[in-house]
Amino acid sequence: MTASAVPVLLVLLVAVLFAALFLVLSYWLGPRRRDPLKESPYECGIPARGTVQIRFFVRFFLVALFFLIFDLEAVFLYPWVLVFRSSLESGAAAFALGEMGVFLAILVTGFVYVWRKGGLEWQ
Amino acid sequence: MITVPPVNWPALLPYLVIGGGGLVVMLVDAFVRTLRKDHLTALTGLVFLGAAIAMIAVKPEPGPQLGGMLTVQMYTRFFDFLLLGIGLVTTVYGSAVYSQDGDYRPEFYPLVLFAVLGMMVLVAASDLLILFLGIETMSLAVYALVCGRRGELRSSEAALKYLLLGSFASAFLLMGAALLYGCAGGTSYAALAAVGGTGEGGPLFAVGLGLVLVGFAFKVAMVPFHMWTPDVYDGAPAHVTGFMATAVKAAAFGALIRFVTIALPGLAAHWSGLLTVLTVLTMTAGNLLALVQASIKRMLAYSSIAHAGYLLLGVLAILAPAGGDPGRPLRESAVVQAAGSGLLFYLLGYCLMNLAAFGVISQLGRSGGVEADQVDHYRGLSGRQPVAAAVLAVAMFSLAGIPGTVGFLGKFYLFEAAIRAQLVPLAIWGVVNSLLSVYYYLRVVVVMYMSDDQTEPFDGRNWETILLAGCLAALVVLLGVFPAAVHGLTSLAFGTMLG
Repeated sequence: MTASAVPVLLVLLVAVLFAALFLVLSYWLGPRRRDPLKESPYECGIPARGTVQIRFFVRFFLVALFFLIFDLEAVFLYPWVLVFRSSLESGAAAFALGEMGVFLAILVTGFVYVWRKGGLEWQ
Repeated sequence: MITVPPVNWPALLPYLVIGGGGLVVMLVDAFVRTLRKDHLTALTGLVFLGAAIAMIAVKPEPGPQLGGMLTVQMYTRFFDFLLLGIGLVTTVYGSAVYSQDGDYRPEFYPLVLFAVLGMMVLVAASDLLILFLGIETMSLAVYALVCGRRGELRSSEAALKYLLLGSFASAFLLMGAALLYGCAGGTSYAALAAVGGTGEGGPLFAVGLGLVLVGFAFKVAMVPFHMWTPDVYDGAPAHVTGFMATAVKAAAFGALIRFVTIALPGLAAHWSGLLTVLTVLTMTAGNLLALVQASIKRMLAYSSIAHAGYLLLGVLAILAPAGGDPGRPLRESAVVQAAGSGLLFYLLGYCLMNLAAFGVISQLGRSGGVEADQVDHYRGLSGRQPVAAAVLAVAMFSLAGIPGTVGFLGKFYLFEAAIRAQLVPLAIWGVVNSLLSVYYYLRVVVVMYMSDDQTEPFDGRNWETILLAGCLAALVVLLGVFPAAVHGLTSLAFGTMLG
C-alpha cells in the first residue's frame, strides 16, 4: 500500500511546488501600482453599492428550510422507486410500500403543521 | 433487493407511542382552536405515561431488533424509564412557566417528545447509523427548545451556537463512522468489536474511534469540547436547561457506556490513555470554572461538566481491566460490574438532584419572563419561600456529595470502582475535586439562609413545580439513605447488557 502511494504523493508534491513557485514569482516580479479603483471590490464591473452585510427578509430562511424538506423527500423517493420492482419479486412489496407510506405521512404531518401555523403566508 | 427484517412490535411499542404521540400533539396544537394551555400539557403527559405503561404491560423478549439495529434489554429499559420521567417532569415545569408568562410556546410539547424519542433510540442503538440517527433526532429537537424565549437575544444566540457547534460534532461522528465502516466492513457494534479484537484495524481504525469519541465528548460536555455548555445552559429557559443537563447527558452517557462495553476490545487500547487525560481535564476545569461564576445557571453548567468528569472515571474503570486482560469475558469481571452499576446509579441520582434544582430555578422570576439566574437573586429565599429554599438546599448538598444524599453514594460507588480498577491516583483526584466543589454549591445555601432579603425579591410562581421538585428532593434523600434496592436494580440492568 505504501509503495503504490508514492507516485500519487509525487504528483501532489509537484502540484503544490508549482503553485507555490508561480505565486512567489508573481509576487516577486509583478509590478505593484495601487490606485483606489483597483482596490475597490469587483462587482461585475459596476461600482459597488453598500456592504455585503445587508438584512434580508427572514421568510427566505423558512423557504429554504421547506425546500430542504421536500428536496430530501425526492432524493429518498427516487432510489426507493428503483428498488421497488425487485421488492415485488421478493414478496416484500407491502412492506416497502408501508415503509414509504409512514415516511411520507410523517413528512405530510410536518407540512400540514407548517401550513396551519401560517408558515407559508408571505406577510 | 429488499429483505424484510422480522419486526417485533411489542419491543418497538414504546418508541412508536412516543413518536406517534409527538405527531398527534403537533396536529392537535395546529387544528384544535379551542385549546387551553394546559390541554397540551395533559396530552403530552398522557403520551409519556402511555409509553411507560406500554413498557410495563408488554414484556418483549429481550434482544436485538430490526436486524440488529436496536437492542431492547433491561439496560435500555432502565434508561427509557429515566428519560420518560425526565420528559414528564420537564413538561410540568415548562407548562408551569407558560401558565405565568405571556410568551407561550406550544411547540415545546412535541419537541420534548421527539427529543425523548431520539434519546431512547440513542441508548438502544447497536449500530453506528442508528446511533447517529438517535443523536440527530435528539439534538434537532433540543436546538429548537433552546431558543424558547423568542424575544430574548441570549436565547437565540445560545441556540445558534449550539446548532453550529453541534453540527460540527455530528460531522466528526459521521466521519468517524465512515472510517470505521471502511475498516470493519460494517457499521454494527458487533462488527467493530470483531475487528478491534483482532487488532487488525490499523491507524484508520484508531482515527475513526477518535472521531466517534469527539462526537460523544461534545454531547456529554467533556473538556475541551465543553465551550458551548455555559453559554447554552445560560441562554436557554431554565426548564429546558434542566432537561439538557439531565436527559441529554444521561442519554449520551447511556449510549457511551453501551458503545464502550460492546465494542470494547478495540477501544481499550485506543481510548484508555486519551480518556484518562480528558477525565482529569473535565473534572478539574469544570470545578475551577464553577468557583467563580456569579450566575447560578452558568455555575450549574460548569458543575455538569465536572459531573461528566466523575462519570468518565466510571467509564475508564470499565475499560481498565479489559486493557490488562483482553481474553477474559467482561461479565466475569467484578470491577466492570461495580463500575457499570455505579455509573447507572450515579446517573439516576444526578438526574434527580439536577431536576430538583432546576425546578426551583425555573419557577422563580419576575413578570415578563425574567428568571432569577444570578446567585444573588436567592438572597434570603429561606424567609420568603421556605419550601423552595429547602429543596434547592437538598439539591446543592447532594450535588456537593454530602453524606445522606444520593450524590454521596453515587460518588462512593464510582470512586470505589475506580480504586478496584487500580485507578487510585484518578480516584484521589476525583475526591479532591469534589471537596473543591463543596465551596460553590454551599455558597448558594449560605446566600439563601444567611443573608438579608433583597430589596426587589423574585416571586415564586408556581406551587406544582415546587411540589414536584420537593418529591424529587425527597427521593434524593431517600436514595441517599436506602440505596440497596435501586443499586441492586442498576446492577441487574447493567448485567443484562454484558450478556
